[in-house]
Amino acid sequence: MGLSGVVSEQASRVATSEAIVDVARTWTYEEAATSIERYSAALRLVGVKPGDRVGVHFNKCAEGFIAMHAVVSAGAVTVPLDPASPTRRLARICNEMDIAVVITHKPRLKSVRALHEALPLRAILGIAPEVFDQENQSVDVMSVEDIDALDPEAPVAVSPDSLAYIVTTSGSTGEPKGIAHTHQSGRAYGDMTVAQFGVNSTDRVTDISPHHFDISTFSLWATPLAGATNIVINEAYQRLPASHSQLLEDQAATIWYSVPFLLQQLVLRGDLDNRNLDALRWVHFGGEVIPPGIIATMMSHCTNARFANIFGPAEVNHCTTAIFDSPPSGVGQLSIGTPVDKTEVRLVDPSADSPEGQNLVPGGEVGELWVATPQLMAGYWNREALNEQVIQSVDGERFYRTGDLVSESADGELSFHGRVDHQIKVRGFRIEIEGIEADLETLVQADGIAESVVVSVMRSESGEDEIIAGILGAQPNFDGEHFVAAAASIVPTYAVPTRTVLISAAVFTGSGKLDRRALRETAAQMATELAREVL
Amino acid sequence: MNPHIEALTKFIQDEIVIDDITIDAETDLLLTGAVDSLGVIRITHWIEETTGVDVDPGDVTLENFQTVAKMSAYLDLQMSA
Repeated sequence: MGLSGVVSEQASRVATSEAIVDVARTWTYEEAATSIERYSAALRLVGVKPGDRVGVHFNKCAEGFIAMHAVVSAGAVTVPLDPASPTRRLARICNEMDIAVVITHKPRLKSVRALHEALPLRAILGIAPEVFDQENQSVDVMSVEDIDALDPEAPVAVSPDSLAYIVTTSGSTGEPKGIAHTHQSGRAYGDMTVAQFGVNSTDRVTDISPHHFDISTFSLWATPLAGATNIVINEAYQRLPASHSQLLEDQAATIWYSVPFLLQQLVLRGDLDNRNLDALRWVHFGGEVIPPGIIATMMSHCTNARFANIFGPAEVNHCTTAIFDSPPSGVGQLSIGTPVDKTEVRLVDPSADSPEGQNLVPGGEVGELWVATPQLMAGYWNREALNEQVIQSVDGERFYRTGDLVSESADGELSFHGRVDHQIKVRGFRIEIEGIEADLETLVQADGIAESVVVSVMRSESGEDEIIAGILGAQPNFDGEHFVAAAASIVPTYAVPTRTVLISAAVFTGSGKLDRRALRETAAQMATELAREVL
Repeated sequence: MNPHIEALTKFIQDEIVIDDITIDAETDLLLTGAVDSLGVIRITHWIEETTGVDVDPGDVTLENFQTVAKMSAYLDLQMSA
């Protein structure tokens, strides 16, 4: 039982039920299955074989969902390519994963052209050849009309341990890290979450997050496994909370799932006093810390909904859940709850190395979270050494070392206390501070405009996180705006600093290294003070 | 040209637009990714400061904010009310 043919199976059960609703059109299960099978046929036609990696590059829309399912139903491995990432980063991912075929749509024309120039690609599906109009004719380009004219090809049978999808995150050296899931691990997550939340064919599930972000696996796999309906909430709706909330009402959404940032936007600017959200029965959030006050206010606007804090890195999709039926108390970290079905957690003393995974911290103390679950990824793509480090066998079980610091209370509730390393989350996106610093350091040194860069996060007055760069040893001609623009061409959009501060005095550790931790704090403090002065 | 269109286009192009996107009155600011969530908030603040119109959060919708032309029409309506 894998992820191939999930939509087609539902088409034989609930053919005329809505599979996915987008602004422009609605697909029934039958229509979605036919479309998926035609894209599978197109992939075969351009030479994609089982196991090949295929890029999927879309703004948020129903066609992106169809493309993701088409790749796995053809037995290939789908790699969602972030529409907001710079070409250089996407090209790096394509090179590392040997991606030669991309499914896309016309709104991404410019970035697909740039990607093709950087690589090149072998085939591009979803854009008309005359629109693509590249002088280099060595690429196969197929329009949606051409694909729609193909005979559907039935989903292929796959072995459970073959790869189904790879999502990328920024690694500790700034290099993209591909989290590779199998048909078995993806399906285990889908089945678990359908059972946990009782997802069924009457549910209408929001489809908000981009596919390279693991929150999207709920609408991608769980919705069709349950024969439920996805409601696409595209970028325009996400940016206009009053329209977002109107869509939730109009479409009678029953399950909402995204990042706390969007929940906060709904509460602050969603005009919720004038909306009826009675259909909502679950509000799920995850990916970063959420202010408890936001939950309390949201609860007062959707009284039929239960709230769940979904916790877990993309490597396991979801490992613990905290369910709230009343507003959480106002202070301290929100609980991350208890492990999901078939999932075992251990809190390991991070300072004790041997024997690995055996030194558990005493009750109530903070340890590194280790997780054993059928939802665990196969490993990082092409990172053997790293895989040996993070996936370890303990008492015959395959455990993943999350790098998250967690404690357990006497009644078994888990709480999150930050990262063992310096990874942070901003608006739900994982950012490994040191990786981004390394990239920006290279930039300033190459241009000779400064000596060093530290990256930090500032929480603005409105409660939103902003990434800031502290510049050390800046030249007199250093231009903050120019630096930010240059940074945008090398790091993911969500990791680009929005402001710079010039740090005049460096701080060093006892061993003579730059004290980056202290400098990050200085930078955050300076930026916060500057922001206050402006206000 | 409607003075709102001119001023809004200039402000959004100079201060808000992400990447090297060039906008005009009819550019879809949201789907193109030219403006993100924080950009929308800055635009509403700017409108309130420069025109004195009090923008109701319930008015910040696709109907009124998808393009500069729509924002301008919304402003005309608010200012004549």
